[in-house]
Amino acid sequence: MSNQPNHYLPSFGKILEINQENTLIKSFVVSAPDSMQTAQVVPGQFFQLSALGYGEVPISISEIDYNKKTLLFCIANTGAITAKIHEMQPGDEIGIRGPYGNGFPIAALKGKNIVVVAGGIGLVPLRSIIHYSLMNQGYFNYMEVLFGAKSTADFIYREEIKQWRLKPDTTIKVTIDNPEKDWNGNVGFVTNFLQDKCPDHSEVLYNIDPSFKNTVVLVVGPPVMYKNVFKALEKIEFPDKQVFLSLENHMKCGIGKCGHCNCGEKYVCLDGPIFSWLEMKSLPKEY
Amino acid sequence: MDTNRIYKKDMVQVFSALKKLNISVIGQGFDEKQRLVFKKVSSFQELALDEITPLQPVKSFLFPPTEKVFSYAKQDEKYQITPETSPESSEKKVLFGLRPCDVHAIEYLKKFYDGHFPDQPILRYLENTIIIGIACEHPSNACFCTTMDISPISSTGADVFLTPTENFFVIEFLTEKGKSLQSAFSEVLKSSEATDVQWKQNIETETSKKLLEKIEINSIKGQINKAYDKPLWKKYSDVCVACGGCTFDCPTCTCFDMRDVMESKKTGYRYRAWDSCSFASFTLHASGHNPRNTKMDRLRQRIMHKYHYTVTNMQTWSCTGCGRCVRVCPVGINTRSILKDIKEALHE
Repeated sequence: MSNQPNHYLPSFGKILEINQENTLIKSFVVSAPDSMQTAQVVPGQFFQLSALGYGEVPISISEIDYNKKTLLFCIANTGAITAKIHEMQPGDEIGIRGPYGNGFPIAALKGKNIVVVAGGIGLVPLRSIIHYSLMNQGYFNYMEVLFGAKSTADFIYREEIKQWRLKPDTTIKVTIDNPEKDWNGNVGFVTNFLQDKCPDHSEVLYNIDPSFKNTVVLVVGPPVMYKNVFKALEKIEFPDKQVFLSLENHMKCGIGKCGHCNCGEKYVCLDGPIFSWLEMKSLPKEY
Repeated sequence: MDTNRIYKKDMVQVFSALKKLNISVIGQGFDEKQRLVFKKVSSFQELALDEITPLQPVKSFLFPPTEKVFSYAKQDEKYQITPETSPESSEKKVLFGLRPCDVHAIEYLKKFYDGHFPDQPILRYLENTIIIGIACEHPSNACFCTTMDISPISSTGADVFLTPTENFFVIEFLTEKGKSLQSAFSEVLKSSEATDVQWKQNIETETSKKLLEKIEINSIKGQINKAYDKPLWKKYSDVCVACGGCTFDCPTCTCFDMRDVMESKKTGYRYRAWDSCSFASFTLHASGHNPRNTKMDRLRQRIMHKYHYTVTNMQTWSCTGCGRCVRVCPVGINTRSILKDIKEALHE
């Protein structure tokens, strides 16, 4: 028993690069600790990052560079710990434990049409799957990213989105909640793309594969957003087994012991964070 | 089963033999303020075995209310991490005279903290702990162990088991760990008599009379989640003050928080501390959203976790019917009544 490793001890990565995504969000390129098997990291998993003296927070992985052994994390400055991480500079050490959680079911997504539905900072964990698609050209049949932000000030990954648009078999659709001066794009919630009356509705859901047979929807966003996505998908009778959500929850340990992320019979850190819509239906209604 | 007798007057020798083996003894007794607690004892006389169980659960000795996880120091822009291994965790100890409910609770903790990611610090405590269980003659007025399928004479999970009589204990060494203690007892062990098997039965009969009536809940095992939308929760959550007492005094509550303390610009530590699903902050998201935003959500979570979720995940209730949650509740919420209400609601 006690000769087993102590899973609560962090290792350390070095911050190599920092980008300010918007006023609230910074992205950090971190070199993985030597002890970490980066080859085993799966898009959709998360890590526990430490600002020592302040605490630890669960952060989704946005990109894994398997060759350089670097990890990309995008972090919103929302509390004491993330504020401290935002103060960090390239060259600083950052505490890191993980990877934890199940990640997206990559093998089952091969050859599928992937519809990524992202609400605001929900694009962060989904970037890992978009990046995976770019790195593994042809792995998915087609990818469509539907991204909704509150306003243009809340956009993240502006440069990357431009790059994604240039890729073959990839479509990016962006919307903001309310009209803005100098914005000629879509206005309204991201769920609009899932409705056929939306002029810029989802290509995959309505044109490319209206049978939905080969289509998988991946959703991340705040509860009000993902619940509305489910409603919209229910209306068009999209199969619940083909929808996956990254469920965010308060977490402390990441290994199924501290109890914070427990919801029903599941632990988000062990059984999730990726759940199918079908599984979500069996969770207590609070989720 | 090999049984022996050990006379209470001879326990002096057992305690000194344990001391020689560098094994400390923890049992229930009174502290300097005359509070009934689990504490380190140095003599048999210090134990108060004729009392009800202490309100504070024995888990504090295996999973301390707060404990350092590691210390850190920054040198030349690099962090050094030193795991904090408390000396108590590697100290050999005997939990002396644990009631069957509390022994079952430790069995649950062992199972819970092991698994895919074993909790090494807590398992170290458990590894170095030997459990001497005792048949329960003194239930409190809140006890409902039989409802949770635990008999007051159950020796399951104990390494050594005692059945008390007026002058002696009938003693059984049940596991390898238990047998490792045999040397401490060997000089004073007496052979048992054929009639000694009766003592346990007598206790079961007598204690069962003192216990609250058993609620037959096996008929709703695995069904309790169906009571999720029933109106019964509000009756209890309306008066709940969300103090968390029921979780802190629960011998099977396992949740904890982890936090950092900065001691200087370059040094500090991370510790963990018991946490409670009764607190709103337990599930509060960074965004401000809280999936269990009301007291009702949280009270229901505690009950669902103990009587449904662990039944599905670990094939066991995570409740031993020890009654501590009932005894500690400042507003008189009775877990046993909740179970009764659930049963009624499901049979409606």
